[in-house]
Amino acid sequence: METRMEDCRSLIRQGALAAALMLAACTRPAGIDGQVLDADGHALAGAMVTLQRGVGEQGPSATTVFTDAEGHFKLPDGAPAGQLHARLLNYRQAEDGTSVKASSHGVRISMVAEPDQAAVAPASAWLAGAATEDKNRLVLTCVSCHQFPAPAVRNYARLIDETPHEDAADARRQSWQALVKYMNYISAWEFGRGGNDVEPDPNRAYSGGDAGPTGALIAKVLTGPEQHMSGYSYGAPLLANARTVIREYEVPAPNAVREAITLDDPDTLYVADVSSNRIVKVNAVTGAMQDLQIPLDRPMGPHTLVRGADDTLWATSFFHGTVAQLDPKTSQWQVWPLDLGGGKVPGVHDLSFGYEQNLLTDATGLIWYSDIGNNGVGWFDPKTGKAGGYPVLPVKGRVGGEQTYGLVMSADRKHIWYCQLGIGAFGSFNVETRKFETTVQFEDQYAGPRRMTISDQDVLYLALYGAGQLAEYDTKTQQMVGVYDLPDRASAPYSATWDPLRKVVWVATSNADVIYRFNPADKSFAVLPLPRQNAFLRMIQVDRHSGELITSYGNIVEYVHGPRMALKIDLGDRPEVSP
Amino acid sequence: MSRNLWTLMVAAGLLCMAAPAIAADTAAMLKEKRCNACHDADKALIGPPWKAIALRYQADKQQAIDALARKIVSGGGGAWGVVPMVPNEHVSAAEARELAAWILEQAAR
Repeated sequence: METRMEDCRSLIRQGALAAALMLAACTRPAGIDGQVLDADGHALAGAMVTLQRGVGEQGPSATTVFTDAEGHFKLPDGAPAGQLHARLLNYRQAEDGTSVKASSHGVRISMVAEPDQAAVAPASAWLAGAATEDKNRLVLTCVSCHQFPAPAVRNYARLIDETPHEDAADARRQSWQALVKYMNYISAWEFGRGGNDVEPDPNRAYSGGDAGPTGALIAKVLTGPEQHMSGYSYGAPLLANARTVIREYEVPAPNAVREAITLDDPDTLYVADVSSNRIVKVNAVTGAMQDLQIPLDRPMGPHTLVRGADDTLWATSFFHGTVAQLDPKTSQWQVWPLDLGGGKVPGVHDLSFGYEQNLLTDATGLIWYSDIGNNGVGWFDPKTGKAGGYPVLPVKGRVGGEQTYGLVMSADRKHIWYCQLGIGAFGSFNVETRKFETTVQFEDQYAGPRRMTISDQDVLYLALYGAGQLAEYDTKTQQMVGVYDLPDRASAPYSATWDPLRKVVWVATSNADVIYRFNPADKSFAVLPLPRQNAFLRMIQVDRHSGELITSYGNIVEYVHGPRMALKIDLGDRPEVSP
Repeated sequence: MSRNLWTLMVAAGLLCMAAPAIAADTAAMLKEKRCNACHDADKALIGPPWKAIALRYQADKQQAIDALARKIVSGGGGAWGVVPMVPNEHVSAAEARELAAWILEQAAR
């Protein structure tokens, strides 16, 4: 009897143990985590770990997290199976990639020291030694279309170096001039797809500028095969932490991603495809995508996206001066082909928006825009479709390259502020009196103010593309508060975005594969590295519900490769930031 | 009409029919791959004319096809001065061989 009781107790104990083990196995959370170590087994902090989604899996195309001080990383819950890649300046991953299942714990990623930064440094690193004026001109000329020097450009530098020659400087000059002619031909073809441009001609100055001076300038700056890089650093404190998550979404071909924003739902992205008449609606959780065709019988090329105050989507066009509005609830479009009279069409770039990044109209309901095609500002009435425009007044001493680019509206909705990319100037226009009021010139014609933003205090922040600086200008006092060097002066800051939640400014770069955060309180910068080279950024939007950053890699030039993706970035700073 | 002559005529006819078809396809490919940016049939643009390339490499066409196809895809220089050809990654290896063969036919045109 006693023995039976003991057997029984033993069985119960074993059963309980088995149940506990099963329970533990069942309750162990699915997920992917691990540690990044160097060859000596030391932890590597601040490394990016990217999960490339496996074939047939759901979710973002890629998800990136950062390691903590002990080298530990953790992908978000629900991360799918795929390949893990790690990225860190001065290191390379020991293996090409690490395959993981949806539940993979304690994954060890080994990295080895790599003094040659060529595979991880951004294009801007190669411009570090260039004279400021040369660098500014090069960035303004070349980086409008692609990073400079992109890997394809550096490959051509290698070919020049390998081709027999007696006079190296002359060989470089001739070669780069030939290449700029070729680029002009290619870009005339690419940008002429709307049917409104001239036949491609390599002898015509186009996006690459005049081949003579542009080629000579490149030859002056790129003086070798440009294959090895060392000594590059981000130049500012890392703002990522172990909770930061970068989600990337690649839309189906033709995937000429231009910009991306969210509306009322942080988990639904709207992505402009400038090569077609479509916006791609992306479910940020599952990765599912849906085409929203803009009902137009000619090419439009949706380009700039702005959120309406009513959570509708506004899109401007690359071709044919068109503005379109989408009601996401009904998926219905309204389209306005604008006509300035006599068949003159505006080149609508930015629509008037305010510090909350919502579309703003003036007191009479007119929407204002920057007219890049006619170097002006303009308006249109969404009720009638009527449009008009005002050419920006000439800026003293600045002739050639005038293009009205960025545009914002003051909180009182009485002024718009615009900038002129090619001549280093910006100014204001009174929408009530219809008069230009203020003009401000930067010292350098090639400073290149591009996309601008306005704060809740009506302070302008201008991204100086050529100069690699951020300008802070108080519109109330009409004083320049400061012009600040970015941590990387060759980073080509494309846009500045006021963050109404954090009271900081986000700076998207086209040439440095990073986002900068500027804190107006102490004038400091911090840096968020992005998980891939050729991260050719455009605008950044702050999702007003989640505080996440929404942006895109806008590589649209087929002949210079680079990612074309929408991004959703959880900075990992909640609950400090609660929208 | 002898059978041989008939055969020759048919063959010639087929060749005549085939030649323009190849030319049309190749012309489309030259345009699609943006070869025209740098090259012309008879004129030197950014790069040498196709006829000049063909004349230079008549001696060993098979070897020339390999070399030209490689240069189309990977770029490179040395044969025509100090300016290297830009790589054309939009051309596949098979397409590059087709283009190279077509270029070598241009000597007699």
